[in-house]
Amino acid sequence: MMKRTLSVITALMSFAVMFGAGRVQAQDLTATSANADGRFVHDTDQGPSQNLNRRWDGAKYDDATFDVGAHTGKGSTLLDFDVDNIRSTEESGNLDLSLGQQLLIKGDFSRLTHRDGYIANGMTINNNFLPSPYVGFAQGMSTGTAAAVKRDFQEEEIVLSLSRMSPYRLYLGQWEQHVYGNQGLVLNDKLYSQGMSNYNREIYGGIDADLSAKSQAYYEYGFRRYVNTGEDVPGIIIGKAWKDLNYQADTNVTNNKFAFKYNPYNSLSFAGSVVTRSRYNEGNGLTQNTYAGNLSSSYRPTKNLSMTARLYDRGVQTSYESTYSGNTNTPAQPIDFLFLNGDFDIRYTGLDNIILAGGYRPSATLRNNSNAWAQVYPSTGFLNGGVYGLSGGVNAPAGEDTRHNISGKATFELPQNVELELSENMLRANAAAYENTPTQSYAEMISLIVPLPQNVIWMGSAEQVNSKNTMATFSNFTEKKDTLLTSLTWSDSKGRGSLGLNYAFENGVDSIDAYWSATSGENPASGTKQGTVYTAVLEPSAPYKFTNHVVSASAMLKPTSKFRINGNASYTDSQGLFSTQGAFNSLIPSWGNNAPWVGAQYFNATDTRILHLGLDASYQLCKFVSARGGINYNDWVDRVNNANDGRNTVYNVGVDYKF
Amino acid sequence: MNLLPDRAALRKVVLILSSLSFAPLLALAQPQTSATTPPQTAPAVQPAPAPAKAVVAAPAEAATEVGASVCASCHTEKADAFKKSWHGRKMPGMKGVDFEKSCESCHGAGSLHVAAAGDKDNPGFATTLITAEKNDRCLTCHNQRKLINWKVSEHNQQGIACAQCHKIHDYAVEAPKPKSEICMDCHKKKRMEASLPFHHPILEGKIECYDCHNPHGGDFRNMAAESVNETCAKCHAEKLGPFQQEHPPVAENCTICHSPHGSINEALLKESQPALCLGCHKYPHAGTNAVNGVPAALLTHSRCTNCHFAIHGNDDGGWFTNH
Repeated sequence: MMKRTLSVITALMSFAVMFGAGRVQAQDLTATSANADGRFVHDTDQGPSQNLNRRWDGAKYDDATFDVGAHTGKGSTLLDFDVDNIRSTEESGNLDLSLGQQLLIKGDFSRLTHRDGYIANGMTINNNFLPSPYVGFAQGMSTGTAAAVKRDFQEEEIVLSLSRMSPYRLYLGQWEQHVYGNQGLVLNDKLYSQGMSNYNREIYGGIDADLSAKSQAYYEYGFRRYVNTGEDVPGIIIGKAWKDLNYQADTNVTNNKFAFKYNPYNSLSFAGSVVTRSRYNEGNGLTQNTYAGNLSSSYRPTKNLSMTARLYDRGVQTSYESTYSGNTNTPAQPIDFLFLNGDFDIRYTGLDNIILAGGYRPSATLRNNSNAWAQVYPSTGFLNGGVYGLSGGVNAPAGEDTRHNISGKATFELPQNVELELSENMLRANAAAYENTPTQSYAEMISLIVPLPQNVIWMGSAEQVNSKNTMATFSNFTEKKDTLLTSLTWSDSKGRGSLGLNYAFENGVDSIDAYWSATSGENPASGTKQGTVYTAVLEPSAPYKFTNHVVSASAMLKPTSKFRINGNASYTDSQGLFSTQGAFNSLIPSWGNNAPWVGAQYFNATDTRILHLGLDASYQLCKFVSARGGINYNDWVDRVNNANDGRNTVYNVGVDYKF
Repeated sequence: MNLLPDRAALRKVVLILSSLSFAPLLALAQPQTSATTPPQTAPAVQPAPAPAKAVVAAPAEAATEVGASVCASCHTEKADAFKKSWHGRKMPGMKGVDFEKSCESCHGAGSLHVAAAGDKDNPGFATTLITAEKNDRCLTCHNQRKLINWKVSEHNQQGIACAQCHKIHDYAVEAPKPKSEICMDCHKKKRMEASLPFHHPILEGKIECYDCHNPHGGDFRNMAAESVNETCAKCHAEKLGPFQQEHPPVAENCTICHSPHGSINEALLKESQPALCLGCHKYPHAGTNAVNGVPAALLTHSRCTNCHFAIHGNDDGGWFTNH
């Protein structure tokens, strides 16, 4: 609210100065529209399960909330009537002031606030979701997850043009995010509540210039600061700040950016940029410097042929030396990265009824100090293509990997205006960056668009992706995913109505060889696998399967030019399971009875049904004023844990005035 | 002359404008403001009839301007709507283009079009331009810094017209269609992903596609910042540290573990825990006490982050547990 007020005051002061100088006439000023919007929210359900149900509003009480607001410009400015549990508000607006030919000021601001909390993620123990995030695992370990998080965004930008026809534009902007709420933690079997509050603020400014009729450039400087103001737990957490559970160090980020474009001819364009960032962690004294650059061009030698080439270069370097002394263990030297990417695309439309497109995207990633963790924690156990650390295997990422991505697409114009599209995408890599990073991948897609009589259009597409890591040391990662999309749409030729039906299906299987060790000793004593001797190793060797169905429909009816009704409905069915039943591959006879139970119990199955219904109507009262209202109903069912079930009904009303 | 590019572009326009948005808003849906109203259907557009191939000769004389009043004599509704639209209200003051010059400032001189009684296939008319040439007309005024990469962008390379996403002439008292809905008219798979149980609140209207992407071309592909990590770090600043104890995939790319558009798993993870973690870490908690052969850690926690909650990095030597 304060920021918005300041913005308005700034604008008004400029306005007043100009008026005072007698240089501005009323007709020189152009302002934007104003709207009024009210929102009435009524919850029909109660209980902690609502928090998960309405993740972004999270109202828990059967109370009414009412917002009254005035819109300016593109959005809304809300004057809050804080009755009770106002769940979220949105304010935005813009203002254009022009002073004859000499001066043009444009201002934009927006603010989004979630005023009520929600559980970011709950606590699960033994696959039982605990509605209260304050209950944790009590064995002398502290843990915490956000219990109620509120989030506030605000963004403002002012652009100053020295004259209406000036090639130079100065701009200044600020962006702010505030996250606040409470976080629960358990320490030594006791429950504590810990405040959480952090700000993320950025100010930036720059100059944007038309250097010539064919070129443009701008320079921008930005400063962003992240501040954690969360409270400690009195009397419990003693010691340095980094031991607090909600510890998040204050961070400063400065960035410089230069960008340009140059179009020597209509058919030839160049663009590029250089961005440097420096990120400083006040808690540990570390600094991370990044630089990124890109050089791009597009060339259209004929009307039927277009080509684009983009080269990217990015480096990340973190300083290792610092005066930080809170860490009692020897830290591993951070990995420094160098990323090199290229995008090359070509498109040809010169064939009758066929459009051809192709792309090639090479990339190379270099990782300096990638083996740092292995050096710090040397192997004292067995090796199986990786490093066996003190408490498990730490596989170092590859020091370098190169990837090649090739794509091709053909679009065919068939009789009766039918359009058929075929595409193929192939990936090859020379090394596995991480165990679950594919080194080979194929993706095929076919899409069909069929215009039907009476303004009906049917669309269908099918895509299959097959990926695997052929160079993994132990995980044997594979992934297969199928996606089907289909839609049927109808629209009235005069815009009086429309109807849409949509169905999306996704089915996937990820497979890994995941190893748990159940031995009480670190040196395996019996059993063999792949030539390495170890014992009591649990190898699920099982697939992770997921299936999603999304069915939706929407309709619009506009019986008169002033009255419009919108309706929509959707049903989402999502299931995911790391199925180990019958697929466990245990080397210990005693596992025989436990394996299926362990697998199904501890690998976090999900089974969710979500239903949404909505209806909105708007009516134009007069030339510049319209009114609207709506109702939305949502129902969430969690078949794995019914404690998460919930439903809500939301009403909203609004008035818009635009001048 | 091959009319295929325009035909294809027209079909895409028809498809996009006439297709209805599919509104799988979840139980997580919020009180709807005008900006978050469930997807509204775009104005209906008659599917374009297949244009007959025609051999179009070059015009014998150059076209001259006729003035918007002449245009409005036939295109009355369009002219009336334009006068009330953003372009119609802003161009005289901001660009010095009065109404009489407004139509032809974008569509080109219209004398030949008038002489041909409005024949769309007549040479010199705007439909003979390819999409890139039409877009160039928009770019003569729209030179904001966020458009600086448009000509090298993916959308431009794929022949997407400005008019496919932006309304040029229209005026509406009620709120315009939310911008993310425009993206999802084509990117239907992203709409499905945004409908999954855990997702960025795109369909709820709390975040827009352009908060992470620049549809006009970014410094790195279509990202709003120069890398994926810097895009994520704008809101999730605390995740990048830098930390004494670094989790390498975090520092490299957030999408190694996360599916930002939506996931069936909490925290937008690609796989549920512990499967995701076991994909890179083997034999975790080897040597710890076991009960009936089951590691204690597995018995009491089904999520690695129940204890290793500082998984993005920390400054304590306690293996991302901050204790």
